Amino acid sequence: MRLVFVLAFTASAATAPFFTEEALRAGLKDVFICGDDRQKNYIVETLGTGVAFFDFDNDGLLDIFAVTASKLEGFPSGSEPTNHLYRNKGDRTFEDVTARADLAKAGWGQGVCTGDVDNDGFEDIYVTYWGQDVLYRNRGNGTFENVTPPNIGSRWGTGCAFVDYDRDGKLDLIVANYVDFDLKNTPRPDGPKPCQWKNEKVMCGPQGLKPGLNRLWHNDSTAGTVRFTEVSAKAGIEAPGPRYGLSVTTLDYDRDGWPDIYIAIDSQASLLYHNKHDGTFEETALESGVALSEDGREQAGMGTAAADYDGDGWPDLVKTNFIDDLPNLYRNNRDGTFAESTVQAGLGKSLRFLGWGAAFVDYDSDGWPDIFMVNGHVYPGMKSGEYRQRRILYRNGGAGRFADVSAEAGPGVMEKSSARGLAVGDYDNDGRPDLLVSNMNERLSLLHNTHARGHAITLRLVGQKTNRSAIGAVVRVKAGNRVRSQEVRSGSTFLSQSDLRLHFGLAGQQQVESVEIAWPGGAVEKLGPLAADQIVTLTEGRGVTSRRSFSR
Amino acid sequence: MTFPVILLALTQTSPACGKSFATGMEDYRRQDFTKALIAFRAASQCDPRLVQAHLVIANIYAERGNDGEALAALLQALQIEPANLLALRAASNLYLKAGLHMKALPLLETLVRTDPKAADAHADLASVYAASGNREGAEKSFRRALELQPDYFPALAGLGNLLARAGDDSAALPLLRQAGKLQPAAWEGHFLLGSALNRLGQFAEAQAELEQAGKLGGKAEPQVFYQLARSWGGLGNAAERKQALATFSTLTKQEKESEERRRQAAAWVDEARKLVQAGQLEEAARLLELAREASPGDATLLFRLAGLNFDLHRLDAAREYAQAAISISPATWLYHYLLGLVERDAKHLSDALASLETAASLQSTEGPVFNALGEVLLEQGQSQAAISAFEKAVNLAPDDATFRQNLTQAKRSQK
Repeated sequence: MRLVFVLAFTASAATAPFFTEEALRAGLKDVFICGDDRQKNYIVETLGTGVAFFDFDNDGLLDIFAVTASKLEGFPSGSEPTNHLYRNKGDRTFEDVTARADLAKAGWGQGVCTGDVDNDGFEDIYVTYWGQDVLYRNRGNGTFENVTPPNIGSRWGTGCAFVDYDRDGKLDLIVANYVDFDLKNTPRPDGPKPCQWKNEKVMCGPQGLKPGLNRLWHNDSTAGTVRFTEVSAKAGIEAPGPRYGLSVTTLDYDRDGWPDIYIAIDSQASLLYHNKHDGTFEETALESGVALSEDGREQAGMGTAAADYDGDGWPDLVKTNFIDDLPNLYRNNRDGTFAESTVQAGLGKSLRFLGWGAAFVDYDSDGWPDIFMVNGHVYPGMKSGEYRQRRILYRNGGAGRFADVSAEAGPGVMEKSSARGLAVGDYDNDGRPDLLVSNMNERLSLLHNTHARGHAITLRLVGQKTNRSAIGAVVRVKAGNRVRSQEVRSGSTFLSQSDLRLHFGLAGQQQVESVEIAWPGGAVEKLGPLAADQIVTLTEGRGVTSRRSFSR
Repeated sequence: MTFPVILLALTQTSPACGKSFATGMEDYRRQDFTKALIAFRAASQCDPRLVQAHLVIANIYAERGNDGEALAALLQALQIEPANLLALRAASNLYLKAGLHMKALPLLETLVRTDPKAADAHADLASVYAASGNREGAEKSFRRALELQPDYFPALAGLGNLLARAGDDSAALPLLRQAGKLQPAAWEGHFLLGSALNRLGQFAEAQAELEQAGKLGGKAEPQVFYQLARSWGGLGNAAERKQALATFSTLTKQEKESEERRRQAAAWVDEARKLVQAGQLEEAARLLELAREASPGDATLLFRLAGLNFDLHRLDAAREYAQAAISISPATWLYHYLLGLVERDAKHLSDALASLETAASLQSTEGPVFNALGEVLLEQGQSQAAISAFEKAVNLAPDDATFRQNLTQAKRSQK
């Protein structure tokens, strides 16, 4: 009998939750709105909104920016919901500094991405809208100014990412647009021509509605002036024609040193723009094997993320899809093509989830990128399915196989919501990546990582000749007998922005033998060794410029 | 299904209605399906509870490729006999063929309750479950089908595909191989086996199976070429992979264009309806003509065009469209009625009479049909027959002043 008790105790200890919900404790109490929560009459009410982990005041602590949409019937004047900026106070709590930062804007916000567009050392913000997107320049004094290009137009922007596609040292911008939406001429579920899903009357779209066009903006800023010029047609971004574009992930999938762009498309083939090094792109998703499902079907692509999950040094892709479908895990074949590995990798267990934000995150610091996905349906009143769905945490076992460890991860992961946006970042600088989730018409979820500590190192890159955010830089870290690689990336997941710093799990290794940085301009820098368990700032051409131990 | 059904019908219906049914049977035997349809429709008009008439109508329409009319007849049969096995099976098959899985679901659930030993019903139900994401239900139903009939190809292929998609390739492959042996000439079996082999990385065998699928009728299926591209990719043959992807793209594009044409046609019809309401008949006719070019086999569309041209007094065009609608859907009374009106206005009285008589035999409860019939008969000098047609019209619609007036005038002219 005693042995039984011992075993039970051991098992219990091994499965202690390692993600705890801390939003309320951290002071994140605001509710973020996207349409009616009981009945979605129009597709514009279904996408939810994005979140960002970024350090707007350069105090070394991740702050939070969260986007809100609105309700179609509107709000009384003066009580409209606005986006929020929360400053990290350093004690695992946040204060709302939205008004002080000049960021209190109402509207139908959707996504967010960050990057230092004017290379002044402070992260700027781009917010997509159903309406006119907004670019905020960070003045560096805790406030922001609206520097939106005057000809930006009014569209339904969704995912976005800053990317220096022509390697001129300035961050350009890619924006996905979803539907050329016409509220007046779109049928409602309670109208004369409702759309149907599984015999239930539901809102219409995106099929049957006019798709949007992805947009690429070239950064023409000069000292003191932020200026962007639209180059979508010239650069080949418009060539595939209108699509229902959602999330944007940039990655150098063919390792030619030039950033490529992957866009998850809803209900149509997804797009992979291959950078041709001359300021133009060629769409190659079908040839590369990342346009469709394993059996050649178009899918309802939602969120995307990229990482080298199998440790071969080449970035792979993950994409979430609609319910009754599997996500896609595309393994990089290292020849410009990908092989769908969803089922073989263990991600093919359930068709029950409608996935949105997806991210690779090495939550246990074992050096193998795990996958976190957030889920939720689009039809709140439906009879055939769950509107609020749990999240999924897949642990990477290291041999290309993942296991669902959501239940072990704890109630924060198992909590059901209609989640959309997802950002990854270590907001308490303890060396363990945390998770920020936006939930439809609810407050945010902040999942604090309390997993047993493995060794890790976090690298913050600062560009000098290249863009200051070092977006597009690829870092290879050698520790023990393994080389781990990651890319600094804006945007990705779903409508959201993760920490630009790179977290490398080192498992049992107490130091990194070497670090190789391929800066976006093409220069390669090598340094090391570096001790584990610290946050190291690496400045282009200057090596290590600051260190800070992980917090305890 | 036809002859037992017909014999059963003859024993069940009244002598008067049985006469129409027997006529239909004779026409059917002579393979004059248009006449047979008209006779069977008349029989169903005569005795609305004559399930067999609807079943035979459905059968004829299905054989002619008119699935919409076939389904309509089957649903009428099911209204009369909700557990009719023939109707349940045929209607669910037509729904599945149209990709309307959720509509097939209740029919199949009824079918397996009514006929629990029908392997095909369990397999069809499993396919619907699989399509709607109910993996557990699908596997259970496929396995039940195989218990009932271990060599049932759709169940073997379906279960094999289900298991392969779930990553259980070791269980899937034997089922798919067995299915392939059972029906070596079915492209689907080779396609599913090839797809599963691709997933397992057995690209050479996959490529051979997929090539075979293409030769056996899968060459119009884009997915065959997508899988073939995967095989060639796995075998490191970039040129063949590119070629297969190009074929996939072409076929997919064709499918999309066809779908887009259908969607556009529906939009034009909607727009035309609004224009008709606004009195803009010329513009409405132009849009309907565009819709017809996009969807030439749509009898309803042809009928609308006939009606519009009739209203615009373009009798030749109206006739052409009405005849085309009838050739697709010969047992629809409205089409014959319209053709009768066209011929009447064109002064082709014999043709008008024939069409209106057909309309009356197909639909004996419409006053306007008998009224038009009376008018034509009167013009032909057949006063007594005209009076009896007008009397029928008045009986059916006693409040219609025109019918009453026509009857009065016909009686006066006879005196």
